[in-house]
Amino acid sequence: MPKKAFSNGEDRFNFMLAVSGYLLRNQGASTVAEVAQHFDVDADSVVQTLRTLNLAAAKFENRPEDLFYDIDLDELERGVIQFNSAESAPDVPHLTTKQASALAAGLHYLKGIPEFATQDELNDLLELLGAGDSAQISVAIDVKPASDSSNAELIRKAIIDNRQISCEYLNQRGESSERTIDPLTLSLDGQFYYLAGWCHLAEDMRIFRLDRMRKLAILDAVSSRSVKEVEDYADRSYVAANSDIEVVVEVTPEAYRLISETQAIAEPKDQQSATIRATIRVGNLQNLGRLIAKYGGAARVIAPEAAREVVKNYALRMLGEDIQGDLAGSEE
Amino acid sequence: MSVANWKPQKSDFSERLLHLTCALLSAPYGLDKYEIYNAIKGYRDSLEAGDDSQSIDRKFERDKKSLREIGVLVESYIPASAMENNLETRYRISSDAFLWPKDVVLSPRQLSLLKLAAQAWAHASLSDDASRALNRLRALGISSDDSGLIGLVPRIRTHEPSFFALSEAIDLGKSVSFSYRKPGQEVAEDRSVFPWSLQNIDGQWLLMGWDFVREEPRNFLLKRIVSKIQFDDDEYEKPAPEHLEKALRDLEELVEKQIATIRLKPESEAWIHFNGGSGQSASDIKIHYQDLYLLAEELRDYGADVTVLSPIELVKEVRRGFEQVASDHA
Repeated sequence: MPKKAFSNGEDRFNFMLAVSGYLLRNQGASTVAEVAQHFDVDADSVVQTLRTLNLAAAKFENRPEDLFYDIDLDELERGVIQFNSAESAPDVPHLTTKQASALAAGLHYLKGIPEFATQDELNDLLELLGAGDSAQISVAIDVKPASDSSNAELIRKAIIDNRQISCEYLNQRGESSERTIDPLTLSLDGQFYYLAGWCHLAEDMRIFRLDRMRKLAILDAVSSRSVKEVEDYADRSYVAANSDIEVVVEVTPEAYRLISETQAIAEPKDQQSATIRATIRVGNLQNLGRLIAKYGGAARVIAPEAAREVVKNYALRMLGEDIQGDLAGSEE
Repeated sequence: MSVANWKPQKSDFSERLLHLTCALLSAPYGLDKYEIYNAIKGYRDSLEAGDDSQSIDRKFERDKKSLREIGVLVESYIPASAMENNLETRYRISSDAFLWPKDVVLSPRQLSLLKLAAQAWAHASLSDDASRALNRLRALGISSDDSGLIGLVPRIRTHEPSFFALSEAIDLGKSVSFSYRKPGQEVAEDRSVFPWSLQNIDGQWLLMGWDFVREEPRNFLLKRIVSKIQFDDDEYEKPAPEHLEKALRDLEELVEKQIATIRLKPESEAWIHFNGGSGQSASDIKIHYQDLYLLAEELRDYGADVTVLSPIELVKEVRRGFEQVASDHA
């Protein structure tokens, strides 16, 4: 999906140099559309950048103004790029250590995902990134996915071959069901693998956690859904359901991940201000006990009272205490 | 925004950086401040507006710093003829700073892998750095070949706000200070650390570094950092790689040594999770762990599906957590 190429000054400058470097290498006639497609950005970003480059100038005493680029603006208006530049126009700079580190960490992460890239391929790239003056980068940031990946291999294969899968799935509430799924995207998200796909049982898009699946099999039936539907689903799931319940929680850093998906967290000044109050939305209060109790005190529910009650009863139940006749208990 | 009504923003920061870069590259012997301030619109405008020279100097210093962070190093030197008169300091950019990667040709497949590696940072701490890196690589002119990578969406998560500052500190080779709260302690301790690396193990971010007070390598879980990361003023030499390798080895040995035994409720979610796709279906299993409190958190998540058999400290910690939650919500 084409997007704006930059959100701040550094990004904008970076993109200028990237476009400059690209056009230095491709001096032939290019179009705005080609460049936009190449960088996966919208056409406006390209036009804006070229107009900015065209204004790059320096004025020294006793001589006419130096212009570093010469881009035909009439042609640009028609979407065609006629690009000339001074010999001293900048090329794209080296990757910074941090940029190389970010890519290297991403590659390390990919190493944990089976069946799509060989270790040699990824190691070659890591070596390439470390080739500059940043010999240490391969260890600066390292990500090793922990989750068991045996289901992931099979699902990857089903996605590539465009085939449906079947499995037994245990949901969050411990209910088991047989599912047939058109698998669309496999994501390794932090600790766990997730599959987004069309569920024939629910007749809707669903996200499944791979470590809750078993008896996974690839079927002969062809999957008929498109990846586009995953994007639509992702957009849709940002819109909170009416039935969601708002719960006010208080978390210390040990439990920031409870709220980090829904709000940006700034670095705290000190231990006192590190405790943050936030509102989360839950589809069903009964899931809240588990969500909160795992943190063992680092997350607390403030309101509503019914939510506090659910969490308390859940914790008591885990301690084996009898809470018969209670609301939460009776719904089991 | 159409081509016709587009106008540059007034004395825009990124434009000034561009003009400065172009001007310095075009001057083989560099430029002095006087020449720079007069030649480049972003500074000339300030001069003409009557800004005092200190504020223009500060602007130039900030721009040099920004360029350095972006990977364009502005060198300063004093020509031999100028004696030690600082006014004669000249600035230049070596063209070596450009043209990455030297003599390297990336294949379309390689570019796609790098693209995927960059996309793994979407919405996480290093997404800006990763996407800038990707644009630099795209400038080499190769198109990516994504055909073998369909359907794959890797996502690195950084829930802890200290991640970004720590990655900067590693990058700059700066030591840092922060408050760190060990499990079971109410009050955090101040730590002073030379940061080596950020490791993500079992979904948890871990900082490996040299602890200046204890004078040995230490690991810090980012989620236990309860303050802002302060950059210390002194710059230290990067420790030798052996130290880091040893710290990593020690960590592996620790994990190898620490074993918990848990009992799983048959056919439960925990039972499927811990038995994995390996095909086994045991109800008592042994797991290696790095940190007792983290494991307790993970096991608490499975509630009554899991019963801890040993060690006794783990049994207690799981229970302590539930007791705390029960009393917090009483």
